[in-house]
Amino acid sequence: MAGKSVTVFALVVLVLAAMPYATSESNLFVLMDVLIAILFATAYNLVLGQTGLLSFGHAAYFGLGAYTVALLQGHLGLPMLVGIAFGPFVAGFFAMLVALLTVRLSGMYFAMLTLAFAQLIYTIIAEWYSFTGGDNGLPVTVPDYFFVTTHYFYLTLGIVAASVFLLWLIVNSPFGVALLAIRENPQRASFVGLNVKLYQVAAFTISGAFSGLAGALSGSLHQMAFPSMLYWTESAQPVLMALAGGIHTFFGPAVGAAIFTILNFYVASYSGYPLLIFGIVVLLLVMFLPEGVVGTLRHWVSRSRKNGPEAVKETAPADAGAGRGTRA
Amino acid sequence: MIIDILIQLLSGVSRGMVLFVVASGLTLIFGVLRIPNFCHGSLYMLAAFVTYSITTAFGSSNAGFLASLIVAPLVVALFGAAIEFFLLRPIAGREHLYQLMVTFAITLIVADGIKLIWGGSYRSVGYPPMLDGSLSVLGRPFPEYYVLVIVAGIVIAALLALMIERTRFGRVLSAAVIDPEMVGALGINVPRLYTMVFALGALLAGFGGALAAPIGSVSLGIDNSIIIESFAVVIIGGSGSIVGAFAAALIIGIVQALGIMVAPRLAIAFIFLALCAVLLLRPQGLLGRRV
Amino acid sequence: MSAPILEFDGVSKTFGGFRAVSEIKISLQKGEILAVIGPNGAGKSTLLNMGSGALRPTTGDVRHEGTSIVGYSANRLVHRGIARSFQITSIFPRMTVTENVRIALMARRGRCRHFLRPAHRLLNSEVDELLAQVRMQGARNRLAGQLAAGDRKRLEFAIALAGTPSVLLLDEPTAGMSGDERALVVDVLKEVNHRLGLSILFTEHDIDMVFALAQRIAVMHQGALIAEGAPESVRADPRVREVYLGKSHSA
Repeated sequence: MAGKSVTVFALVVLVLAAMPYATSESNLFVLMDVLIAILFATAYNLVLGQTGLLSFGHAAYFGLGAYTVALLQGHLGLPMLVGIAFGPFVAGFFAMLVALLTVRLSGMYFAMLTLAFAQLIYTIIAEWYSFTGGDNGLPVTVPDYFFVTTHYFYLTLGIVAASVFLLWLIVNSPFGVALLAIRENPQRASFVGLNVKLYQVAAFTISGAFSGLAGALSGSLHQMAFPSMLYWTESAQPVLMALAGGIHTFFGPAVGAAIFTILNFYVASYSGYPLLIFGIVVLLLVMFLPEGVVGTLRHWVSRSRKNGPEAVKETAPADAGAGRGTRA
Repeated sequence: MIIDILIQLLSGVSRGMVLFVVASGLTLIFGVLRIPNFCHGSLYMLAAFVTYSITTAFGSSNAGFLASLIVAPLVVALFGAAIEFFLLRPIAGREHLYQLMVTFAITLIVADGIKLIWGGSYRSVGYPPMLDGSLSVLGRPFPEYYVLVIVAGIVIAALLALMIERTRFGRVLSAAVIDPEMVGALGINVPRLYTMVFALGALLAGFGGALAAPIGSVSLGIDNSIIIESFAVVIIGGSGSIVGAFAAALIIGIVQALGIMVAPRLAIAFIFLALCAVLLLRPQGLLGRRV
Repeated sequence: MSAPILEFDGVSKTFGGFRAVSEIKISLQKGEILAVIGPNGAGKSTLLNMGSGALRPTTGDVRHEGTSIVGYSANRLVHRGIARSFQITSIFPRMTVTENVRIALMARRGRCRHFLRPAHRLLNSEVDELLAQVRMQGARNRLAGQLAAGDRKRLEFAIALAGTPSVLLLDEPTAGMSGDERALVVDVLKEVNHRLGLSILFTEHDIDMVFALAQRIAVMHQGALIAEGAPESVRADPRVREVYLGKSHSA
């Protein structure tokens, strides 16, 4: 099963690698946004789908990645690539700090504290005019070689593909399974010997780091780091992407990211009411496709393969198991 | 100088009152239904725009003002009830994340919906003729309308407190804040309770929006600022607590009003610092149930 | 007399104004099977919770192999060799039976810090051994949350045993089980006690099962220990009969 996933993954990467010769430059820009969103959403789901923590402040780590590139360049004259390399470390560091403080809470209170911290970081960046340029944002200069769209495309593709692969390894490793156990039953997880809070902080840190990497790529692509990247409404994006694709699958968030990025692009270009359309799509997804696109497909496939009581493992639907989720 | 501070304090109080009215609705919704209602700010914004339409239709007269104070909250309450009934109730058994995302989606839909109906430009609603003057407070002018806002806030706080203490609905509500499952076991129709609480919360958000329309701006984006502040009030005051919300809203209103004078950058960050501090040190806030 | 492996030394637990456990002094000897019985509300689960790191005693000490373990976290105690089951079966519902046991094995062996190698190939033979021990090999690929209640309890045993514990604390291990399942559990527990030298402390309501398995019985009532000793002497103890056995069981 793992081999099959890797093959499909490699094929997709190859197809994407051919894109610069198959499509227009403006399409390449959209595609790069899609790739960045894929990394962000996949990294995010390490925390939500894999560990069961609802973070509503991940835009902060994304934005911090972008600002790392811009600040290292603006204040220290370091080139873009160095900034991109450092982005995950800065973002991961802040993610770790936030996680250390927030894991004492759970559920909605955890979510709200992650939101509060993200807004705090946003406010600091937006107000610290002398250091960050405040509301105006901070420009990012791209070196000549990467100013060529195709070159930056391959940089983005390479980094995103490698990162997604790393995340895939992590999710399927003993560490990843430990996170899953923590999601399923934190109490039992500690009673099999796991230091639950430690693993939650670790997952959050790794997730934040990769989110920062995505942000660094984005800031460089758009040649700008701006405060609104960290605003709380941006934190909803990875959540929605993960939900749209399916939080209980690995590639679901990637699919959701692709859907939403492309949807956003076309809706913004052709409609005067992008939020309305986006909102309705979200509503429909949340209400009718709780397992997301990939999750629902997987559910159908395993259902049709079913051949008796000792069946192949199925994906459990969203409200099964553990009895949680009652509104009470 | 002291007089300036006093005036600023009073305007902070009036600001806090608007915040209280809106946040009281949010604290009831969060306390009973356990979902952070992201679209609460949208309901406030919707009411502001409805108020604009009504007052304009009545030629900015006193009648228009009074009509808007009644109609706008009712419209929004109905809208809120519809949201709860058609969108939240069907997915009540799922994890809270899904309900949260529904409220978020509503935020987007209402924002563009308002743009569709009223257009994207900035509107303004003036003070009603009967309250467009200023009082003299220690020699300085203070808008009469602000006094109305302060009085309205106190009256609503009293009414809500009375409702919670004296009416059956209020007691069921308090019980549901403490233990929703127990309330169901006692034979209360929980789904209907949820719809009613959501409608009440929306009503309060709507009243806040109508009340605040002449003070602030009526434009897209006012949902954003009020929702953050409202959440801060709910957390700091304690979810489900009206008295807590009153205290927290006053504190926030005053600190922000005075803070703007002293250290404007810090004033903006204050709310998030306070929020983080409360969640870290005392998550139940001033008067909320144990988290 | 063998050394105590788990000692409760004058432990009490108060919740607010309510005293759930008062001054309990009891030891689990190495290799022993000790049953703690008593009516509902006697404080048995609270005692178990204090022995497994789930609760901190208000007063008194809990010692494992001579070392005080008060304040130790649950996961730390697992690594000391103390494993437990819960009254309300606690497993990982959306993971398969195999995955449930595997994570217990990996966690205990400190393998969970590895984040790059694939997990699904690890420890498969050990998983099968444990499942065989509780006679659940056939359910290998079933989702744990979809198992019947009795099966879930057996899975929980396998999870507990996966930690190669020296002490097993079981909270009502046969609650809700059929007669056959109950007999199976008794066999399994006797076997691990005999073959692996596991010390077992369990709470129970089913008296037959208790007498079939326990080498020593302690009786609790309203938080206090009212009798302790060999099964026959406990059975004959008038205080115990009055409080517990006499009312619902003909001798």
